[in-house]
Amino acid sequence: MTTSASQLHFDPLTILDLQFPDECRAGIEANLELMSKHARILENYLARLHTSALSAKASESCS
Amino acid sequence: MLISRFGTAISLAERIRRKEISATDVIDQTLHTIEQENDRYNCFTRILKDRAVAEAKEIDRKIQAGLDPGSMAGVPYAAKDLFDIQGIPTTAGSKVRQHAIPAKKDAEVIRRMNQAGAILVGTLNMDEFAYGFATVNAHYGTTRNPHDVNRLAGGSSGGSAAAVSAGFVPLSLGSDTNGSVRVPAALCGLWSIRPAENVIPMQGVFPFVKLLDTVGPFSRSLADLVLSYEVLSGKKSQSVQGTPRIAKLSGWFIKNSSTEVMEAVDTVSSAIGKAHSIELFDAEAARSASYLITAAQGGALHFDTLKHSAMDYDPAVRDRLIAGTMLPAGMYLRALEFREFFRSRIHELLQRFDILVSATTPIVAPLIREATMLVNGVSVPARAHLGLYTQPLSIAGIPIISAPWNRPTGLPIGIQFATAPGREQLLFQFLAKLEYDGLLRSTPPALIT
Repeated sequence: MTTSASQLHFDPLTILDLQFPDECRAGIEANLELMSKHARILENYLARLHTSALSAKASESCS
Repeated sequence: MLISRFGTAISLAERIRRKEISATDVIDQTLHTIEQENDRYNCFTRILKDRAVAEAKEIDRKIQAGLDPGSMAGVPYAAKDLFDIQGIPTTAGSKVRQHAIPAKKDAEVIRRMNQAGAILVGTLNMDEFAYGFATVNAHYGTTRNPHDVNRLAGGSSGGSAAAVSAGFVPLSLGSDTNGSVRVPAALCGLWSIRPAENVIPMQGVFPFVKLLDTVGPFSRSLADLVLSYEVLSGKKSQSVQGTPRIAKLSGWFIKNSSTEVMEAVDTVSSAIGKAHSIELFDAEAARSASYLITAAQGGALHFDTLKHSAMDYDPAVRDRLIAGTMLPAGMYLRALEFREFFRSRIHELLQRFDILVSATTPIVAPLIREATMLVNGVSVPARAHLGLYTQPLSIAGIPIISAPWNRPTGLPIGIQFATAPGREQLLFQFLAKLEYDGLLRSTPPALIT
């Protein structure tokens, strides 16, 4: 069983107490999507880096 | 016409010092030209006539008295609308700050330019709060490219680039966080430099992303760029020996390039001779890290103002800033960690090579009415993506020059040359040879008369 963060009874963004007019919504969502894309690119790169660092460590200890 | 519209700052200062022409006459002519033609390009947001005239008189007085008027004596220049100028609000391209408290004193870089004898004639258009690569501003309008007024000048220092390219002034100041001097310099056919971090002082510059912000000058010749760099940094260049080891950046830095931009990079690389081709595998992640750091720091900086004045912002900037406030802290910290890692990788690379070469932008200036570009086959807004090649290198903290490829016909194309901090002089000397050989040169636009 796993719980997604979105299922929690707490929205971390409420801390910001940021309200904006409805007309900003589409633009903000488009930018959040773009930000998520960049976050995924960075996460994927870091994951690959971590894996290659681990395998380099493993081959070092084998040799 | 007392002065050549596309002459250099150095030659103009020499003529003023030799009393062939007075600083007052130069400023009168400059202000007249701006008044007559600014509407065509929309570079200036403010003309500082009284201040410029008073400073010109002071330069003339010094010359008459036999005093040293400085290396930039009487040279008119203008500055992006985010530098503190004594007595006026620092608006940073925004209506949000139009009633801000007037600056008590000039930004340090303005002080240094004036100390060298240069004369500030006005403030220049920009993307609001420097967030964009287009200089499309909801409050002050779009700055037009002097090489084709239907095209973007680039941004966010687009007014600074267009003012020099159009021949209003020989020098201007901009700021570069993710490419905001290099992109407009490339699209307008100029020389510019993003300095190494902490080399040119940031006091009195309205911030965007404190970790990445730098100040950089624009010029139409390398010699003028070097002079500006010396004045702004306080560092005097001294000749160095040695032949630089050159690497051409491939992979990310050629992906999405238009054919004509590829041709420019290939021509420059072939002329250089022994240029190794290097693929920087981290470049895409570096761009993303830069994007995330910018979003988070920009959002945090404007958070309080957004709470009560969101609708006073340029809508395109407002929505990006609000999105930035919502970036999870963990993601921001990982972007910062990556930055450290990437910096060490670039510095390792710069142990093996002295100069890294790539295009500055993947395309020439896009049309204003259709400001999109293709990235991986998908049409995206140019405003956010023109910095595809400048953004990754920004987080490395190294000095980078954008130089104009010598292209007498056709729209300008810029080439980026990056080096290690402290090796600026080697880069200047290398580029001086390329400029002398005719490979790099700023071509004046065919002005509409």
